Amino acid sequence: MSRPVRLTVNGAPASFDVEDRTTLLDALRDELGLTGTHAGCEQGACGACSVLLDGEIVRSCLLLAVQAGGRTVTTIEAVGSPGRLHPVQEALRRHHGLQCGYCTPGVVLTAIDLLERVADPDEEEVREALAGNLCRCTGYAGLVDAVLAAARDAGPGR
Amino acid sequence: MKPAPFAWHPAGSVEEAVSVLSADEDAKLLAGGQSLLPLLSLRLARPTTLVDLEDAGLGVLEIADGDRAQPAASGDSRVLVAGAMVRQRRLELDPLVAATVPLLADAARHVGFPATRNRGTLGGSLAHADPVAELPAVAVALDATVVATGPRGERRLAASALADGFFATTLEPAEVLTAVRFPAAGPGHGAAWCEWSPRLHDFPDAGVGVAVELDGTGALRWVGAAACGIGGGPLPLGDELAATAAGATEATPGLLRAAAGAVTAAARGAGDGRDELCGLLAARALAQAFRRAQDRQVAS
Amino acid sequence: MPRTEDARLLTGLGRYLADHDVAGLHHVAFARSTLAHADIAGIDVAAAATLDGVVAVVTAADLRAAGARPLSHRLAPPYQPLSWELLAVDRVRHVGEPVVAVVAASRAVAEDAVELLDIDYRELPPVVGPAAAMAPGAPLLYPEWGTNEFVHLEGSTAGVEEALAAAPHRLQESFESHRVIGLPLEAHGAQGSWDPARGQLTLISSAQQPHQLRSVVAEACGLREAAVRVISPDMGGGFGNKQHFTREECLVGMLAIMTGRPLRWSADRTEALTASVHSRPQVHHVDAGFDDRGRVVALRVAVTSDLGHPVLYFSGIGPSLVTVGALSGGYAFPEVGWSLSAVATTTCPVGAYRGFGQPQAHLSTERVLDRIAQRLGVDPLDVRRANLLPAEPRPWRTYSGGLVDCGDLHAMVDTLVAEFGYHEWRHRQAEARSAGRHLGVGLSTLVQGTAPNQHDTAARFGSLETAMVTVLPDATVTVAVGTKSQGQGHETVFAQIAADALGVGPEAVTVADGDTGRLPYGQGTWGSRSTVMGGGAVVTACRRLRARMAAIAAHLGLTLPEEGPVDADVLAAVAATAWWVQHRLPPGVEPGLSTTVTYTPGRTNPSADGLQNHDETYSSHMTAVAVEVDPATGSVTVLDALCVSDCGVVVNPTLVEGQHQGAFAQGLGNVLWEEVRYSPDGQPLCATLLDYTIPSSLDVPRLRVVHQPTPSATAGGFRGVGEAGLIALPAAMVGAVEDALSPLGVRLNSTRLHPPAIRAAVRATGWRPDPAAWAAAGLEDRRR
Ligand code: FES
Ligand code: FES
Repeated sequence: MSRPVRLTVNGAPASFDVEDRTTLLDALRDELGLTGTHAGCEQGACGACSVLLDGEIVRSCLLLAVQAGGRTVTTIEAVGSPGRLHPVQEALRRHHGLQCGYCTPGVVLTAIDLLERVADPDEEEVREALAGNLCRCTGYAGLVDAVLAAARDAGPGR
Repeated sequence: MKPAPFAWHPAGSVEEAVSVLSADEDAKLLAGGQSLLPLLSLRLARPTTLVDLEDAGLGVLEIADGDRAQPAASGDSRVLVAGAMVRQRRLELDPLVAATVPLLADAARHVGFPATRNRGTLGGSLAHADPVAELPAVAVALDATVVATGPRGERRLAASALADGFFATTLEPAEVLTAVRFPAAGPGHGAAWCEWSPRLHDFPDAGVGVAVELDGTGALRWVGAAACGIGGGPLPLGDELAATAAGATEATPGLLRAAAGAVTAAARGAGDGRDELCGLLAARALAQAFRRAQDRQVAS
Repeated sequence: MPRTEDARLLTGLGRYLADHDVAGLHHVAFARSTLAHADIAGIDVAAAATLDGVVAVVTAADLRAAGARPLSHRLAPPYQPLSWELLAVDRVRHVGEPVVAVVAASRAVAEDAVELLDIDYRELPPVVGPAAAMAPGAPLLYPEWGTNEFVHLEGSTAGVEEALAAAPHRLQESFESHRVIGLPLEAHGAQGSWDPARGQLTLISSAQQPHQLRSVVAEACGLREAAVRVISPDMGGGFGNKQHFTREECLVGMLAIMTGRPLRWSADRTEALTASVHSRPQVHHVDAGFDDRGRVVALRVAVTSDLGHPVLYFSGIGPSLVTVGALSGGYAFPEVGWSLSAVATTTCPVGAYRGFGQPQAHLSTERVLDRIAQRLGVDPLDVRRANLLPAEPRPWRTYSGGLVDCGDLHAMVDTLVAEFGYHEWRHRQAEARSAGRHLGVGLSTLVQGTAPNQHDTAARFGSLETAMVTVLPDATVTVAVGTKSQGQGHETVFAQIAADALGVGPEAVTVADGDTGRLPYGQGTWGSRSTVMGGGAVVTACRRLRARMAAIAAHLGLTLPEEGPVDADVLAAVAATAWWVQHRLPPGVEPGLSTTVTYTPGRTNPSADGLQNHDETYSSHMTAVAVEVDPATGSVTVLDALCVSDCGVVVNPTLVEGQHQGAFAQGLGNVLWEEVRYSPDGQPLCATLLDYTIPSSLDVPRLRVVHQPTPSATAGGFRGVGEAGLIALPAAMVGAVEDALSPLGVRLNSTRLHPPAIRAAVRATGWRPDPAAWAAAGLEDRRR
């Protein structure tokens, strides 16, 4: 009952065979080994599994892998590397915006999605944008500071 | 927490979807999936086939001439036709929606989160019929018309005739909700969606949408309203508000108190004090709608 | 200093439990009881066992045949006897109790197989809530006990009764803490693999205490401890929920042995919410006597604690024991008496969660002080000042044997008053009241035991920590420690501690934790113990090494100071000599530069009177919150919150700040939105994150933190941090919300500050909102 799926993941063509019932979350993790996308609930309620689909933030547990056929998916693995962090990642690091790190990939992608749309968000807008990304560790203070700082550092030229 | 097996069927047209549904009574439509996927993962929904409407051509969002037989409440006889697969995110952000059906835009930003609104659809929300969902109540508040296509062709029904209790609609098993036609706002139009949830971003305990139309003299000549979170489906409140607010030129404290009282009475029976909450929200939404209508009149 | 672990966690390169795929990995799903209480009349596995992709379907009988041993709570009388097998035998006693295990090629197939099982339950009456459990004629979970009371304990100072009888004023009330869950964002789980050639079981588990888990798994699987290696990888939070040595972890070990396949169980969110570990449910009947100045002269608390189905190591009794020992907190109550009735019910086991029994105790003490203030018509701040420990003596011996070594609490309260602007807030409150708004202020003056130990009950916990510190030949440093970070940033903290003690840069230090293969023993992370105990072990080991290094340097004619930075060339020469040139070492000096220290501060040994100081040290946290309540909706908005904190020597202020913010958010969530609910027939009503609602970024304001540290007497001077918000917030919030609504006459006796509960409490007073005013007030609120 498997079906071949072809798509673009992190800028490169990817393909796998999955059952129709497989979520994009599971396919990314199990078929492509992209374990940076985390399962926090598999119920669409926590945001830990957030990825970009054709450049828009979505929850990969709320999408079947087969639905992503022919589309473009961006996961945390394509955003910065330990030696060269993305500005949002760097800001999270500087402002202690993570503790256990389990929510973090989803937070990073959600923040990037926000800053794509709103160049200089205020605190309220940042909190609003992150409201779907539950974090049990940080109390959000460092996380909000980080996104505000990342926006500031990106400067008016954004 | 993994779904039980099913077959995914991407439908290239509404007709194709209808024929799959007709052939298999355990097939189910997939229209964004932001509510359906959790139910699948929890194995609370167990379809044999998921008919995906993604590519069925239901993404239209345009102004059209209204249906003369069912006169729009507004002075404008045009309608906004929104296809079932229009994303909630687009309802929230598209200027066309904000200009022509402001209540829809105002309510859409309360639906889920940006990440779910990017996938979740108008038709999916109406067909899922979650009693706490905003969009079905918006459709009822505005006297919108729902368009559905089934084995016997297309039919239209009033939004208020769609709901059929908790998570149920009056659609036939093989019918596909294809579009919703919202009356377009005229110059004296103002609308507001107000809801209250325990966490700031959550399913609401109650939500109320109010739209008003002021005439040339600034007097209220039409009001539409409905609530979510009370009972098994959208609670129409237009009559209650019309009875208290018709002809009013200001949302005076007295008017708001009367409106809240009438709405609370209509919502009676909702637990946890949600009836009273509903009344308060109606008062706030009415005040806001009034103000926006006045602003719009001044601006035009 | 930013954290070392962040670079990998930020880029998706952390390796959590579920990120350990290996060739041939199989997956485990459990059939869990769907009923609260039932006999199992039969299990038919035939259909499940023949499903494509299924490798094994295992029942309790199969486990027994394979040599699995039952677990027991390891408690002696007066605790009721209790042991349980890894899967339920004959009877289930809570929804979610595991009955059958399925091993399959994928989790999805394993779940398909679970659905094909035919388990014949004969329903028995449920027991939900301690009142039902203790009602005459209640159905019994364990008929052999003759009761549902798992244990009844009492303790008292000598003069409680007399002092109560003679007290000028008395108050008698009940206070309730409701059931919540710690809810790490990564649910629990374990992955096992069995090497038959070596007879070695490797268990990767998202566990807070890998070494102690090893003991339990070895026992359950019938192996020697040396045959089990437990690895705790990156963890997505723990908060006490991952320290219970669960049946499921043992099952994964057994299933790996039985099937010979590597396999993993990752709890899904529903399992985590309904079938892991809940916390907190207690009711306190309080009787307090006080004088005209608001001083408590005697406090007696009867605690009823709901243990759920107590099939946890130590039966989850630990938090309740902490509760009855922590009833005086930072206060000089001269007489204290208590009783504890811990009751079994047919609900999910109740155990550890950050705060561990202290929030419930603190709720009662703070509520008592607030009530005294109300009765006497004085400021609650003054009542606290009247009762706080005097500056001398230290340690202060508590009724339960505690040796409280905290700093000057009065000075901390002075700081709180100034920094929070207590009097200004009272002023604002008065103004708001006259404008018809409902502002309130709540206080908590907390002294919290840290690095705890319960020799007498939790016999396998003890109070030690182990660290191995090595200066390698290239002068870089490795630290292995027996604590286990779940997100607290130990790699950074211990690197800083070691770097500081050794006089090297923190970047020279690599820290490893969570692997029984690297260090003989350790006790993991819980009870704010890591910096105190792990830090103490690391500091002690480093000091030892540094003394050795200094001796070698001197022998080589080089200078290596006792403190402060060490010259890189000197260090290089010393390291090379120590490892490679033994004949140049001073006589009697051990070669190499590695040492393993097992450290105990030694302050928790029982004293001659039989009482025990249960905590190696104490941290203090003075908290004030200002809230506004909308009585119409029941919503509570925190306007300001400040904590004056003494957690001893601060290693990394940023990380301490993070601990405070995180605990604050959880404490707030616990009271404002969270509750694990059950239906009357014992069905869990919170199976998803839509039912169990933790706060989001929109709901949690920023806590202001002010440090007023005093070093403890433990090695390094640390006091521990991380639980203050969980303990302080519920009490402070109940006080603040009640204060806000006091003009309406609302009284609050429970931690349920959920909007519907507040709404109901307000309604009961007859107060009704004015819709016109409410509508106008919200017109500008862009968030609603
Ligand atoms: S795992 Fe997808 S939203 Fe939680
Ligand atoms: S850092 Fe642990 S959940 Fe966010």
